[in-house]
Amino acid sequence: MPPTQSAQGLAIESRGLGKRFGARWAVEDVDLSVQAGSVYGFLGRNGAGKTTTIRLILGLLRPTAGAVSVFGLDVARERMAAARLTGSLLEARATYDQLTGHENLDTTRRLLGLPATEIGRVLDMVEMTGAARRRVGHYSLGMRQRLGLARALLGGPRLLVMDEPMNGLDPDGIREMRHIIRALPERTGATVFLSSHLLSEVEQIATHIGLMHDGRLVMQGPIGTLMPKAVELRIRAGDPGRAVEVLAAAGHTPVRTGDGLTVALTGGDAEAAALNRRLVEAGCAVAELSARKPDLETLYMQVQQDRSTKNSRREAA
Amino acid sequence: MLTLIYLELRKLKGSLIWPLVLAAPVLVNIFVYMLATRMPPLPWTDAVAQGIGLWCFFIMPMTIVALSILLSGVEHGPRAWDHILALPVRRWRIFMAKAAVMMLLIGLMGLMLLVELEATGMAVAAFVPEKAFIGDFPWIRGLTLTAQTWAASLFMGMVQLWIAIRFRSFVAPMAVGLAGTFVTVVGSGLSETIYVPWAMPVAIIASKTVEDSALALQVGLWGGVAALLLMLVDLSRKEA
Repeated sequence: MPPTQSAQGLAIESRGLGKRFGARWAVEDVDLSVQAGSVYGFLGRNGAGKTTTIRLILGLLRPTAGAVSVFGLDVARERMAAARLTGSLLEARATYDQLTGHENLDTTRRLLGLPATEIGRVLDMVEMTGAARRRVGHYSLGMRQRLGLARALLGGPRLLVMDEPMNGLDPDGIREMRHIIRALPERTGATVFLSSHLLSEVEQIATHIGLMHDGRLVMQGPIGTLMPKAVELRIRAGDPGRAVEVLAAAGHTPVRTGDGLTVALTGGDAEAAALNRRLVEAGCAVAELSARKPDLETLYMQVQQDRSTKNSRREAA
Repeated sequence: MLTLIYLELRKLKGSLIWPLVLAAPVLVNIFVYMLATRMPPLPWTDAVAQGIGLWCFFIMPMTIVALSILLSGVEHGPRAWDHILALPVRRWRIFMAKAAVMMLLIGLMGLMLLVELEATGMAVAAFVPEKAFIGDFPWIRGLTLTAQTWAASLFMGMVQLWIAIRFRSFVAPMAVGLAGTFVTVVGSGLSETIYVPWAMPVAIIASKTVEDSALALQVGLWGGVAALLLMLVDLSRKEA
């Protein structure tokens, strides 16, 4: 079913989006809703369908089922109009090595019919002004990624689509890209849609996430609402057996991990302090009490595990 | 379209295409010089026809194979097609610019060959005066043959470019180009060969009748236009 008028404020919207290669569905029944102005982290393991979805969003592939729109423009039917609103960074090495960074940008600038001043603007945004006159063949991967990002920013697109922009970068390169990408919505007003398997990086950048598994979008929404609320409290007590009894009596289900115990905590610091007091009063000397906030990796692993379990059950049935 | 052609040419900076464009006509002229110094003195008209014939018989088809691979490789190599095809530019214009550059380069080599033929004639006259070409350099005849063979090469050029862009591996255009050139070489003299795109340029010079020559030009030109249109439609619709 093609999306009708895009819901207000959606930069990307897909309904029942699917792509089949031969007999295999690479992407199936994907309903994306990417809020305008958000930084949307598109997650999933290799082969989950992230790149295929991105290629469908950019009109490089035609959907087998459903449709995708960019700011309400159906990509299959209004590719040119949708492309005018979109900048993309798909492949870091998709540059002409024999040309300078400036010449690479100028090639795209002329194709887009933009003024020459655009090049200086985007080079400044990715902090590449100093290296612009050097041949791209001499660039590091991080510099190529930033050049690719500068190219995607030409013309001030309202939507930036990036496929694994931090892939293969060293820690410095990752930090630089993170710094630049995080600033993009504020500096440009653009919606950022990026795929990645670097969960900790996405967690630091994204406001929203979508999780792909076996070609299907299994979860999406604001990162804050999707994250588990419970904090993981790690306790190392002198008498673990007694500590388990005390924690169970307090209504918790402690789990033994290494030389300690963990319990899920939803009541914050006050609840942690109360548990500590109970343990001490019960004669358990508490050697360690540390809280670990839930992170994207926990969520990701949980969802992947749930899906794998469901798939196994389905296959068994 | 001029902007796109300019950008295509700029992408060739530092490419092997330029040495190829320079070397291919020189190679033909070396053959012409060697033949001229081993044969009775030729009239300039025959020498020019011989030079252009040598060019069309083998060097031009092989050069077109290499050109098509190198031109498409500018995008295949760094996987730049995705970037270009995601831009708000009509896809047919992108492929049309590639085709235009290909034909421009073939035309440029044809003109270089002609200019270098005159230089070769001067060299023969200087170093082996008894073998000097007879008469004046036939510019009109030379330019006419160059233009006709260039127009007839459109069919071969578009088929080669189409295959080279469609397939990332260079094996497909190379295999097709070698097969086409092989048929041209072994089938030379057969009237049926003029229907093979790779043989059409040489058929303009080597055909037994004026009618066959004209037919080779017509089929090469209009077949090339048809191949170009089909290529533009196919590549524009193809998923990247």
